[in-house]
Amino acid sequence: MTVLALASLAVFDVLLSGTRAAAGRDGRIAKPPYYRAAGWRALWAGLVVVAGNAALVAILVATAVDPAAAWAAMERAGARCVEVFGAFATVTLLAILFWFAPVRELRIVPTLVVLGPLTLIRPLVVVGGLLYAVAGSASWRVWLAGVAAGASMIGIEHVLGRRYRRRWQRLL
Amino acid sequence: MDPRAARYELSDLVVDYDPDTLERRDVRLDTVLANLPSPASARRVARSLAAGSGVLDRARVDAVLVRSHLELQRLHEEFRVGALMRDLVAPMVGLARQRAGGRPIRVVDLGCGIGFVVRWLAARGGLGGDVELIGADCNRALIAAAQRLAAEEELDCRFVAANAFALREPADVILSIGVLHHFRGDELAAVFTQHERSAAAGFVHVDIRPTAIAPIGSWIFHRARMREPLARFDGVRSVVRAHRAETLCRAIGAGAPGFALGLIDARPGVAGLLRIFQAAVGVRGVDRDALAQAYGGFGRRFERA
Repeated sequence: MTVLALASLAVFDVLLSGTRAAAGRDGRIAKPPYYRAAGWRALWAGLVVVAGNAALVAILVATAVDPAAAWAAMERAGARCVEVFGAFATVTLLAILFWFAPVRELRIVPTLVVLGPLTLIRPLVVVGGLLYAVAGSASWRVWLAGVAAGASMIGIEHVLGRRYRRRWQRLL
Repeated sequence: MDPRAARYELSDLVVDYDPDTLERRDVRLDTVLANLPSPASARRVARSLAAGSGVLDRARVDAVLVRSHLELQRLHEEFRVGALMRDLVAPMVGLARQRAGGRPIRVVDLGCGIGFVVRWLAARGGLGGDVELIGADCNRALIAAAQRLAAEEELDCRFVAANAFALREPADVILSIGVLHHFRGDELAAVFTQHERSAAAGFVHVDIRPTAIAPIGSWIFHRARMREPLARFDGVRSVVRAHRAETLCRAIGAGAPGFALGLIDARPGVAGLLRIFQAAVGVRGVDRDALAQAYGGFGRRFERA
């Protein structure tokens, strides 16, 4: 259950990161196809991120002297991650629901809440959540998995943004 | 004079035009730095735009401006500026129609940048089939970008590198968003003097509403979302420089006394958390009641000024 929750949260986060990476780089008015493509790209990237981190954890667990204990430590850290990132994702999702509000002005709420403050604090939440998760463990394997997860979550927007970085040149 | 008013935005400093011909003039780095004593981040941006000769490289400046305007467009999309502008301009087009005698109504966006509002209005409609949409800006690179984007989506609008008040075919309605705060003191009244001298029937000018929390809100948004350092710096500073409704009214009264004036969202109360812009709308040739009636759909958001 913890693994599934973590994977879902990671894919959701990469999906939003990919959309952010594409935003502000295409000047057309009608952009749904552009954002759909960015979304699909981000979804695949999210699956790759999850698979990569899962593979690392699998290797770390498999190479441990006591794989069962190593897995238990990983699961404990994962459960703490779910607490923090789950809460953050819930707030994000609740705000995003306002995009479907019947009153037009209320549709600005996701912009005001998610795209501004929550985007600003996201790196802190990622680092803080992972520190909280690994702080209770003395195993370097758990810490290494935490560092890898943090690097991939924070770095993915930059990686996905590379595709769009030079789009502006078409306009000059 | 408010000391904040003297603070420049980078985009004010890195380009210069001959006021008569709009020909671009060289900008020296030391001139920019002299007008920009702080912060260091803004001075770094200015230095990054300079060529070896100590003059700013126009191609680098244009590239930064285009990228910044693309990011600004995203912000406008997220704050649903297109729909807001349609709602604000449509009543003014209706008023202009009353004195146009059946000819098309020409709506001109003053300082259009890459033309987001004009292109949005062309793409989404809502103003009527008799409306001609034109964007005007001094910067040829931004105008070229606007034209390319409009052509890509086959939008019925056009863009000119020109003074919006000196077009061969004059505007019936002049609109702008985020432009007025670039004009300070007497310059602001001078903008409205140009309205008075023009043939325009009306104007719709939208800008950020200055509030106590606007600077921090703007800082959060620009820090979180803007990638271009110039856009980050100018975005926050533009909020600090935004004019109060009273300042706008004084300038409009002094420069364009022939226009009946109204304000929208100048005092929105708690709703101001969701409404970050205010608008000044003016019309001539009809009385104040007609203006109030035209903007009746805004209810209490509209006030006569």
